[in-house]
Amino acid sequence: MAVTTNDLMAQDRQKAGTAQPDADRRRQRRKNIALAIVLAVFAILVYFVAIVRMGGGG
Amino acid sequence: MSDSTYQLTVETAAEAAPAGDVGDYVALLKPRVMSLVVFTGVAGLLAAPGHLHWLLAVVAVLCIAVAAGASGAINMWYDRDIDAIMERTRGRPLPQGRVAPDEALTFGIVLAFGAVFMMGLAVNWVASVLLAVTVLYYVFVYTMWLKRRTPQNIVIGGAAGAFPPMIGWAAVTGDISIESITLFAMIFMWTPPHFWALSLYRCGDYEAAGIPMLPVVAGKAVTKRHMLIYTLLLVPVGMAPALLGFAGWGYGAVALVLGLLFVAAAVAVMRDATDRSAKRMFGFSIFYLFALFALLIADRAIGIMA
Repeated sequence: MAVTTNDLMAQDRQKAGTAQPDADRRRQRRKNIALAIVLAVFAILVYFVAIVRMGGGG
Repeated sequence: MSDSTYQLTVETAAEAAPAGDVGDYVALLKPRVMSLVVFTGVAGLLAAPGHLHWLLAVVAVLCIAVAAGASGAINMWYDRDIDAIMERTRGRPLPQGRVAPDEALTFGIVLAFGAVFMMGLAVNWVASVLLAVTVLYYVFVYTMWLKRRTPQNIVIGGAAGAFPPMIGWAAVTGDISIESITLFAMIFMWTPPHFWALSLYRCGDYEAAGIPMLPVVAGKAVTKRHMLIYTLLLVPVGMAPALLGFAGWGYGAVALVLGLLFVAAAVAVMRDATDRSAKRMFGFSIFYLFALFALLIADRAIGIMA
């Protein structure tokens, strides 16, 4: 029986969902959390900088 | 896309998928280099006359740090081929394949743009332009143009590392003055003996990678002579803040003593056939710069308190 491209892609999606090593997922999770923290800090910083600048504190 | 092509693409991607962790992205920012850059930037900021809101001062320092890190990431992207050859650098994330080259480049560019625009919007545009010039100079003039072409690479390229105190100063005053140019000159004159001390005991590495560092091209004796010349020139430049009147004579006296110790270290390197004195001089050079800028901060703090 011939295996089609769609079958291969489905197999890969399945692998990505179930067979991804735990270490990879943990690493990706750490990167996502780090990025989220950086973005949150950046947003807070911009907020307070805007207040200081508008208040003539600069 | 045929089945075989798709299969090949999936396998290649799986093999090439970088396994970089958060720490690898931090390593791309060259944190050790960043610490000296941040310190001199803070010194420029604190030594400058005038007042800057503490939050804006923190943002200015953060922007200097991020831009320095971004330059480091772009430098690692460009130099990944020679980094893989050199013992000192082969453990970096790119030669190890833990971060993909495109990712490192994108990371560096995004951070550089972010830092420059944040500096402009939050602090002032003079500091922002100086920050942009620093990044562009480090990436295009030093990394891409000079580093692999001339033994004067770190003399001319050293200017990139000399900008941070000038940026810190401009963050407070909004201009470029003789005082901030003096701070620039101190690091500019310090860079050649500092890097040549390192390259004296790492010259095998540089030779293998084809980087024309002075000891590789002209030999160790010529390099040691150049180190002594730059160290002698550094003595009055290091004392210039006192001579120009923006630091006290206490600073000037300590700068003279430290300068003479630096000259003594350079003389010891000239007389020593082994690498021991060069290693000692490299360590002392870092202490020298830290000490001078710490003294400038202390001098300013004492001046304010008095």
